[in-house]
Amino acid sequence: MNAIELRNLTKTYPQFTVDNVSLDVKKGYITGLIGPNGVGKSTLIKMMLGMIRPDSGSIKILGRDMPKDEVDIKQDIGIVSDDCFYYEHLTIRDSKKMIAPFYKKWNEKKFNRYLEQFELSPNKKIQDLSKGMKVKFSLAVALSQEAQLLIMDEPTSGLDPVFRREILDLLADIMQDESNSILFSTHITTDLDQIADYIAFINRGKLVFNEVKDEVLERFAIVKGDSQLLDSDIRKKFVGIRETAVGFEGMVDNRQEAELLFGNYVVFDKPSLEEIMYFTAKGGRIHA
Amino acid sequence: MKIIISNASSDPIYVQILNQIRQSILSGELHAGEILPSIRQLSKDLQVSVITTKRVYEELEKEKLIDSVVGKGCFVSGANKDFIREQRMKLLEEKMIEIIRESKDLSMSQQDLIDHITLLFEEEQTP
Amino acid sequence: MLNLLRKDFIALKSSLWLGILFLAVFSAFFIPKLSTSIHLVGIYTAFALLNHGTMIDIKNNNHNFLLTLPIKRKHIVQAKYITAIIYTLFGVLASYGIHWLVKKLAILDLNMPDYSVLDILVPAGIVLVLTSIYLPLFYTLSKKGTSIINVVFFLCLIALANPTALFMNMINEKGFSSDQTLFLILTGIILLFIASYYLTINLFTRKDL
Repeated sequence: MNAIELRNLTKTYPQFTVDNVSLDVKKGYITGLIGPNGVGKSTLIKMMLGMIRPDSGSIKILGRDMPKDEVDIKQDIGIVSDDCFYYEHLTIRDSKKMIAPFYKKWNEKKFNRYLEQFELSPNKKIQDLSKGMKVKFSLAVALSQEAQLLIMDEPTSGLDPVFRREILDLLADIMQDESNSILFSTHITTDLDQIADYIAFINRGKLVFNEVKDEVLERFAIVKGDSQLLDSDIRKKFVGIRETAVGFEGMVDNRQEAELLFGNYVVFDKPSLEEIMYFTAKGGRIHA
Repeated sequence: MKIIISNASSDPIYVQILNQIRQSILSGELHAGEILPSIRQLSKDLQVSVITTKRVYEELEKEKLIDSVVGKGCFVSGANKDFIREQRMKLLEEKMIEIIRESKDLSMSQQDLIDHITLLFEEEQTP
Repeated sequence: MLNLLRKDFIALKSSLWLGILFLAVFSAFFIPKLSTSIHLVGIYTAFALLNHGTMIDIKNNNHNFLLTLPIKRKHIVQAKYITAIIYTLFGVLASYGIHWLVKKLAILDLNMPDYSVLDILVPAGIVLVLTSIYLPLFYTLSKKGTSIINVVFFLCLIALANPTALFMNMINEKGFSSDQTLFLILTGIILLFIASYYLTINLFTRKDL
């Protein structure tokens, strides 16, 4: 079962293109959408939400077609973004009054509980909230509409580590119900190193991979060793490689093969998602 | 049940969790029929992917250490006592070998070691 | 739909006094000077309110917010056209009310003519025409574009105040040649308004935000 199904999505801009992206977001899991800034993550999300119309391709969310069933779909998705789109001059209470009637399943009790938990005063104006508080508020709204799918666009950028931890706990709470799904777009991959189930990696408008996170972390390996081990054939085995005066550090996407090739002459390290993103995004040889 | 995940370990996270739960079952800390935390609860507590904990439980099921009952959860398997006993014997043997090596380092004879163990055994039995 | 109207009302709640202020300022400015003040006060108040509402929307990236809600773009446009009608009615009727009051109480010794239904219909028609031109632009242009359009429209309104007044006098003196002409013009305006509505829906549903 897929919460989101993108098929051959294409959108061309003068400077950049989302190129034939097909992506499944599995129901019941957290999928992390990663990639450097400005490679198409936001465009993809905006297409899912119907803000941007794709040139071609199809979008299915929770089994329904976008944009045909847009209204039904949006009843069931909660959106948390680092851009706050609420009216700045309104208080939290007024904003809630504005938003709540749109949702059939709005849960007032839940909303008040989250306000308390997040220490948000209903009398505060949106413009007086810090960035973290704005995210908390939009999270409270999303969770109170009883959404089955949370779409989070860079929710943790600009947040302090304490609250980022809190969010991860909250997300795990939501995932106790296996009919819920989360798509979490971010360039801060440390959040996802822990909790994500799937990782979808977007680079330069294309989907590089969408796989189980554990498998990604096991498949890739960081190889460190003496530059003398490298020749042009061996360099080709690396997804990305960084050579300096004191040796090389590269990433391979097939750890087993690399272990056979290098044996004990090099050191193998588990990569972080950040390293996978770094080496893949840079590609080829990186000169330091 | 106690599970500690270390980022410093070279073992993948799922192996670390698997080893520790297996250890808890084999050591008898978890009894037959005892319910294990749900896959999603465990993943929340450990802050790891649901897929990771799922894989651990699948592996444990394959080893016949746990039974999963649809809709109810996972339980420590009781059916395979012999198997568990066998596994525990293996663990015990490993420890014995360690003791033997240690005693050799201390230049104890076989008889010395047996005598010592007999003594300790008796002490354990008297309350 | 009701929810969308309520949304606009909540957003404007803290600035509803502005409507009264517009009314007061325009009244004070026009009534002593022009005999056609009844029209101008209505038009200015209604349009200033519409402008104010769209400015608040623009400032807060309101379209992006609305698109996260479970509503169709069509309904977003629909709600805005309905609010425009509400503003129009408010502006025109309030203006009529004020003039009626001023005349009745004879606070100022002005030579005020008798007002007729026409004096409500004419300004209402003019506001609807302005709205028909304004809203498609508002929904097509970017944030910056709309700010510029708002200023341009307002400058036009100020610049056109005197010519409009003259024009209005002319009409009043001559009177409409027949009820038929009046009927035709009114139908034309309503058709324009409806056409503008469909055009806006068409433009807005295709727009990338």
